[in-house]
Amino acid sequence: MNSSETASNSAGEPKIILIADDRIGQELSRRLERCQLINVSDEYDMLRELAKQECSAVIFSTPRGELKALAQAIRRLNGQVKVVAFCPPEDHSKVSGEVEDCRTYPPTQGELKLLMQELHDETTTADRRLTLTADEVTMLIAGTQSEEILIRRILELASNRLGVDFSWVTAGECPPEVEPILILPGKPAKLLVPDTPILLDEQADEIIVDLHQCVPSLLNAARRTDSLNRLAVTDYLTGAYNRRYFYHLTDRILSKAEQKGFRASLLLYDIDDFKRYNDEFGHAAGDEILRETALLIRKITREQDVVARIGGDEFAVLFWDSQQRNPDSKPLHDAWEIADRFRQAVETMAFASLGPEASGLLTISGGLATFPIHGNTCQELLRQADDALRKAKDSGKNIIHLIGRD
Amino acid sequence: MAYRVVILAERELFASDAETIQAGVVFNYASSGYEAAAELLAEPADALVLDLTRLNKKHLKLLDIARQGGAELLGMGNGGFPEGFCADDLNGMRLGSAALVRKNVLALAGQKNAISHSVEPKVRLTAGKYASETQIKQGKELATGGGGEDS
Repeated sequence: MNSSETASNSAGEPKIILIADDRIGQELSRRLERCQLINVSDEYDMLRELAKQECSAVIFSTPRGELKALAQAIRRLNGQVKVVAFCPPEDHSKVSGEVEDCRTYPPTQGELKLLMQELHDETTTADRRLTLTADEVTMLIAGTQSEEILIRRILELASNRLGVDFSWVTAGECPPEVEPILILPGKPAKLLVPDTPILLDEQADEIIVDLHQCVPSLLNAARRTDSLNRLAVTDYLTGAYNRRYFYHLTDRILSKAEQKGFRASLLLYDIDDFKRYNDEFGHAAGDEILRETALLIRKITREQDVVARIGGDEFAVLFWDSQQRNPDSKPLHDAWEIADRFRQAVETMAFASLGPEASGLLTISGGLATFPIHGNTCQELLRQADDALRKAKDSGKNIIHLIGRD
Repeated sequence: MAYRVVILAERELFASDAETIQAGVVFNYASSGYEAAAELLAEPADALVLDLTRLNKKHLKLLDIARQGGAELLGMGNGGFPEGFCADDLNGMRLGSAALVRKNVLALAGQKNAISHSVEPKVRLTAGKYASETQIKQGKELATGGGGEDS
């Protein structure tokens, strides 16, 4: 390969092949700074370009047919190239199953900045694997925050149509001389303000009026969608995720963990002698115990960890983060520490419905299994964690048992 | 010398067998037009075999890629044009049943082998090598006292 065929040009800018329709292509071209864009009109031309020269990334917009086949063809020509698909939020789950790196369109300036950062890093250190932040992966795989997506899209729309960058600020952050063009209905602390002064001509006025008219109904629709999404994936009693969604989400996270080398551990726990509390204090008391302990575990775990009610008094927690697995480190340590902190917190917790005499008697037992040592899928990890949980019970309860440490 | 064929067709329709292996034909199956294009672009291919019933107008660029790479085009079909194709689009393509296309592939592979054998360079001694070998031979003859016609 000669110097002109490297993945970056002489200025160190990554070469990117962009395949998108005119409108999206123009907008991405405008916003993707510090890179050399090669615009192509269709998939075959893109493959030709890729065969001709080394590139850092191929970016395409959807909808496109046979995405999986296209991604495989790209990999056949260049195993290192980053394949990024931009798609509307409603297509995200479908597209992300076929393309490794799928992002919602329109992207924010921050997302594009992050993407460019990754590509520059790849250009300078060819063998460095990409590491997505925990927040980013959570956003990608959760895909349920439609209100947030809408808020982001409003900002994009205003920026694109009015030709200046906008930001969402709180009332306190808004300088007195700046007049917000929109206050988000139901969220009075969210104001849309231009980053630089703008001259509001007739056309701009019309756009702002349009925004005022359409945003309330769109926001209501987005909130309804969020609410339905939440109902579909959560347990009504505890607010934790339900079993079905836990399996789905965990398998997706584990698949990411496999690709990127993330750490992940699964905890399965239940309330010791839960039946006794139900029988002695009634089902309302049992429900309160489940609700309170679920609330506690959510407080103790980190934002990205996934908590779910698997059934009855049984809960599962997937601990994961974007730190790389290290053969010399103790991957279970963080997860075990959090789990044991939870166990201790339950032990000292007071439950109103049990009365003061029962305080300090309620305990939990748990079993912990680690990816990929004890399994590669949610089902395998749950089975192993269940074995560990049984050992915890056999050892006298009120214990978090680490699998393999008998 | 291998005869590399990229195939965009069901494996059952166009499978490798003892005869094709013996003829040095290597099949690379692609499951989509994109994969077939990637195969053609990744390494030089001698031929592209297509199941015409799977093609549509979007595949015209695949044919362009094959033509530009110098690959022979062979199409299997039911006699009709693929959707959105006209006669010119199939220009230069050998058409026929799977059996006929297979026969054509074997014939083309045979031709390539024949050509490559006929132009195979012969090993020739360079002047320097010829001289040193002659010297060695002469030296041996001198050491053994033989080689002289007069003796």
